[in-house]
This record gives sequence, structure tokens and C-alpha cells, in this order.
Amino acid sequence: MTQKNYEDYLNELKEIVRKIEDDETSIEESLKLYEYGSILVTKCENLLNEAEMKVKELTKESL
Amino acid sequence: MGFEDDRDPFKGEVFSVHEIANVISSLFDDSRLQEIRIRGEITNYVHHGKGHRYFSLSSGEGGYGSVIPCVMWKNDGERLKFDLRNGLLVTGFGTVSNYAQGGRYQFYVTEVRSLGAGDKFLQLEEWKRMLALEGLFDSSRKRNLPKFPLKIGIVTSKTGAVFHDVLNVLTRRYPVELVLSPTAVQGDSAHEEIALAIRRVESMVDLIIVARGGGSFEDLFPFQHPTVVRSIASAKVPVISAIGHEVDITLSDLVSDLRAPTPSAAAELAVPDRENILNNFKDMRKLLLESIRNKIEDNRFCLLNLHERLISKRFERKLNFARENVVMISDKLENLVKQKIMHERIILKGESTRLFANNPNRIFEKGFSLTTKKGKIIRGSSELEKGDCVKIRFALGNCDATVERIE
Repeated sequence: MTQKNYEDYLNELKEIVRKIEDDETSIEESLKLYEYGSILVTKCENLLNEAEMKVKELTKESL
Repeated sequence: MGFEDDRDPFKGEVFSVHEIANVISSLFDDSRLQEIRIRGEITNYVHHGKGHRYFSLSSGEGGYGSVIPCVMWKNDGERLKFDLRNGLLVTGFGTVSNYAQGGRYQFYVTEVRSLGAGDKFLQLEEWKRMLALEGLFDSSRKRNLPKFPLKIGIVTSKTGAVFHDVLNVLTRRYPVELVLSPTAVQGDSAHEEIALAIRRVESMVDLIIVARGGGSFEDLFPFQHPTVVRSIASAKVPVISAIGHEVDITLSDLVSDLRAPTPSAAAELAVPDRENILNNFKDMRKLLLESIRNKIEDNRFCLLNLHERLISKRFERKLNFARENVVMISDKLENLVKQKIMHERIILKGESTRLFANNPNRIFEKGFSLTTKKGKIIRGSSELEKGDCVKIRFALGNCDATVERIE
């Protein structure tokens, strides 16, 4: 299995939000989705933070 | 020690420059140089801003003959019935004398008669026509220069300033190897040598600069020669030409892939500027980082939006709705139960009322009493006889009695 990247996580998250926003989805299902969605948000935030750190390092190097 | 007196070259009278210049000037007093007519081809013609005309009279023998520098003062020139120009064959009338301040002799021309185009000029025009017919000057033939050459060949004189000028510029601008292919740049066989110098270096380099410092029309003539023009045209690598000053355009310049106004300019055109490249890289790096940063920002924004939607109002509403449902249902449930209880309570009340209504004690309370004889309830007087002992029960208390009379 290949490592999931930021875009994969984001797309999953989008799908989850779409499902939660769908009135057909049950609350139980929504809760489960919400839990997983929160994990994805954290993951995505971490990836963005990492990217930002790297950019900062690179900027420091180039100075 | 030292020279013996008669061998010392510095023994004897020492003259001033002025004195010797005067001697030289006096040599020109020769009648063969006074008010004479000279026939030749006009070259190196310059119409000076002050109105004086400077040019050379050339013997026109393929470019390698004799040359006499000429001056025609403004007032003499203004009487001319035609314009002087390079390549014109003329007869000039005037006097040759020493120009002491310039350290050279000059033919001071007072009148000029035109004889038509000169040999050298005609020769050049013929070469130009022929080579143009061969398509050597077509712009479609021009090759692009290598952007980052590693090795540059320079075809020029070993002794002139050109090589050093080019080397200086290259050293300052860009690290590149410079290969000198030395050649004579003027003289009878210069054209052969120049062509040979190009052949010699073309396989070793990415780019060739063919250069020569400024010179007279005659000096630059080898660079007009078809041998040189053809060797530039067929060179294995692109050629930049820089022949003479900016105003001099030779056939070599016309055929080269790029013409530079001066040798230094040729060097500048040959290589990119190291500083520019580095600055460019810096800018690109900045741009790159900037775009990455923007991308991260965009994504962060997008993520924030998704996060908000993830715990969105809609989700809360859904929960609230569900909560309301539960409340409603439980209310309903409660009501139902309450109603049921109330209903039961009513039934119970009825029952209890009925229950209380039938309480036997209430009869006693109204004043009625119960009479028993030996534990048996007496309902009529016929059940009794005179003298019987009976028990009477009241609402409060009992008593024993004896029957006195029966009615």
C-alpha cells in the first residue's frame, strides 16, 4: 500500500463533510464520521505545519 | 669601465624634438612634393564636425598597397562639386608636408577631381555581390549562440590589446576557458592566416570570436576577403565578429552569426553575466518559496473551512433536532403515563368511593344498632321470646339486654 499524502487526506475529509452535511446520514454514522474527520483534520494540520517548517528552514538557508 | 669616448652613442650634440621636426619639415620642401597631382582611391573618409575632410589616398592594389593620409580644409572642401566617399577613384591636387604636432606627413589637398569608383572599392563590391549570391549573408543562416559556452576560441593578433580586452571581460563576467588562435590581422597574407586560425580552433571550442581592433580601411581589408568570409560561414561552431570600430562593417561582420561593435562587446555577448545568473537564481528561489508558502496558506484556509463544516451548524442542528425528538417523545410518553395514572386514579377513586359507601360502621353512626342472640343477627321480633338475653352493638360500645315484651 502506498503512503497516503496530503491530498488523499483532504479528499477523504471533504467526502466526510459532504456525508455529514447530507441529511440522509444517521447521527450514529455522523458521529463516527466526525471522529474520523477530526483525526484527518489534525493530520492535515500537522502536514501543513511540517511543510511550513521546511519552508522556514529553507528560507533560513537561503539567507 | 664604461664606453671608450669614440664608441659612446651619447657623446656629442643632443637636439630637441622641435629642432629635428624642423629638419624633417624642411625635407618636404622638395619640389616633387609641392603642388602636385596624386591619383588614388579614397579610403577612411571622415567628414569632421568642424567641416574639414580627412581621408586616405590608396594605391588600390587589392588593399595591400601604399596609403597617403590626406586633409582637405573646410574652405577648400566647400568648393567641391561632388561628395567624397570611400572607394572613389580621384586625382587630388595639393602639397605634401610634415604635420609636426601629429608626427606624420599629410597631403594637403586643395582640389579633387573624380575618376569614378576605385579598384579596391570595386573589388569589395564584387566580393559582396558574389558572396551574397551564394547566400552567405542570409539571416536564415545565422546560428544561435550557445547559452553557456565552456570554451571560447578567439581568433586575433597575439600582440594586440584585443586578446586582453576580451580576457578581462570574460574573467569578470563568467568562468570560461579562452583559447587564443593567433593570426596576423593585416598584411598581404592575413586572410589566409585568419582562415587557418579559424580552422585550427573550431573543433576545440563552443564559440569563436573573430576580432580586430580599430584600423584603416586597408588594415581591415583582410576581413573583407572571401577566404575569411567562407571560413566563418563554414565554421563548425557559431562565430561572433568584432572587426574595427563600430562604424566599420566588413563582409566578415555580415557573414558572422552575430556582429559585435567592439571586441569587448563581443566578449559580453559571448557569455552571460555571472552576477545576473546568480541574481536570477535568487529571484527564482524567492518566487519558489513564495509560491509554496502561498500554497500552504491556501490549503490551511481550505482545511479550516472543512473543519468548520465538519462540526458545522448543520451537524449541530441535526443533533438538536434529534434531541428535540427525544424530548418530544419522552414528553409524549410521560403524558401517556400520566394520563394512564390519572385514569387509574379515577377508577380507584370510584372504587374507593364505592368502598367507603359500603362501610357498615356508617349505619351505626346514624343511630342504628345491631342485635344478636347467641351470635346470630336478629332481623325480626318473632325470633325473640320474653326473657331472652341479647347483645346490642352501637356505633360506640356494646351492651347486654333482656327482652321484656314482644309486640
